[in-house]
Amino acid sequence: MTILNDPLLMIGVQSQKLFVIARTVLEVHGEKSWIPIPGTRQELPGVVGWGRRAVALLDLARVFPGLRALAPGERRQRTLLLQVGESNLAVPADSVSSVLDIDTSAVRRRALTEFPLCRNEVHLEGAVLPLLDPTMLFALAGAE
Amino acid sequence: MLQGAVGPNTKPAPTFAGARDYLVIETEPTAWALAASYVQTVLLASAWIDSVLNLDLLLGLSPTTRSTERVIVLRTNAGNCALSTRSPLRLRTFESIDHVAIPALVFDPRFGGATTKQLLLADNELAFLVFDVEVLSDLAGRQGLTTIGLSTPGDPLL
Repeated sequence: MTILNDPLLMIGVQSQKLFVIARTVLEVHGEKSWIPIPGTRQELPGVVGWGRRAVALLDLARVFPGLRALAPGERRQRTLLLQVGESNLAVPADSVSSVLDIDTSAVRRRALTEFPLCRNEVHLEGAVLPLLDPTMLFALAGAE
Repeated sequence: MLQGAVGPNTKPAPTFAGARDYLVIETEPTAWALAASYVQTVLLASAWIDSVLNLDLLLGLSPTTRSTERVIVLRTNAGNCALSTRSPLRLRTFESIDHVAIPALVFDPRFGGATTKQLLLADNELAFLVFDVEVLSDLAGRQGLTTIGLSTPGDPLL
C-alpha cells in the first residue's frame, strides 16, 4: 500500500535526522532570530518574525529525547517555513537536504520510531527516520 | 479585573507620551513594553501604596538585573491601577512600531494559557511582549488575587 507519493526533504537537528514533505515547505532561510514567549508549550517556545507576522517556532530538539533545546538567543543555520493547515510554523534546523524522491515503499506506518510528531516513518538504507507531521501539534493542543 | 486601584480619575490623561513612547520593563529573555500614554507615574514602592499588583510574581518575570522595587501607576478609564516590579524600567521612543499577533497555538492551556497576545516589533528589529489588560486580569483571577474595578472589558488599557 502506498502511503505517500511526495518528494521529501531531510532535515537535521544536532545528531537527529528526519523527513518533511517537500510541498509543505514554503521557504528555507538562513539563520533567523526568534523571540521567546513566556507560558508557551514546551515544543513551541516562541515565535519568529516573518514579514509582518509572528510565526510559531517549533524546536524539534524539544521533541526528540536527548537533544539540547534551543536556548534564547541561539539560532540554527537554517529556518524552514512550513505550511500546516491554515497556519505556518518556523522550524530551525542545522541542515536541510535537497528534494529527495524516495521509493514509496520506504514510507511506512510508524512502528519503530518514538518521535511523537509523526504518523509515518521512512526506512532508508538500514535507518528508520520519522516523517514529521506537524498537524499533530494541533491534535496535541486540541485546537483542530 | 485587577487589584490595585488607588482612586478614580480626576485628571486628564498625561500628554507627555507620544504614540511611539513605551515604558520598557527589562526582563529576560524578552522584555515587556507598556504604552507610555497609560503611565501616570512611576514611584518607589512605599508603605502608603498598599494595594499593588506584583507584576513579577504574576508574569513570572526574570529581571535582567534586580533593581529597587518600583510602582507603576497606570491611568485607566475606571481608575488608577498600581503594578509593582523589581525589573529595570526604561522609557524609550521608537522610530517605527508594529503590533503583531502571537499565534494562540504556542500557548499551553494546561499552564495558564496566554501571558500576552501581542508582540511589539520596534524599529524593525526589537521585539517586546505587549501588556494586555484582559490577559493580566485573567492571570490575576487564576492566581486568586482579589479583583476590583480596573477597566471595563475591552478597554485598550495597556
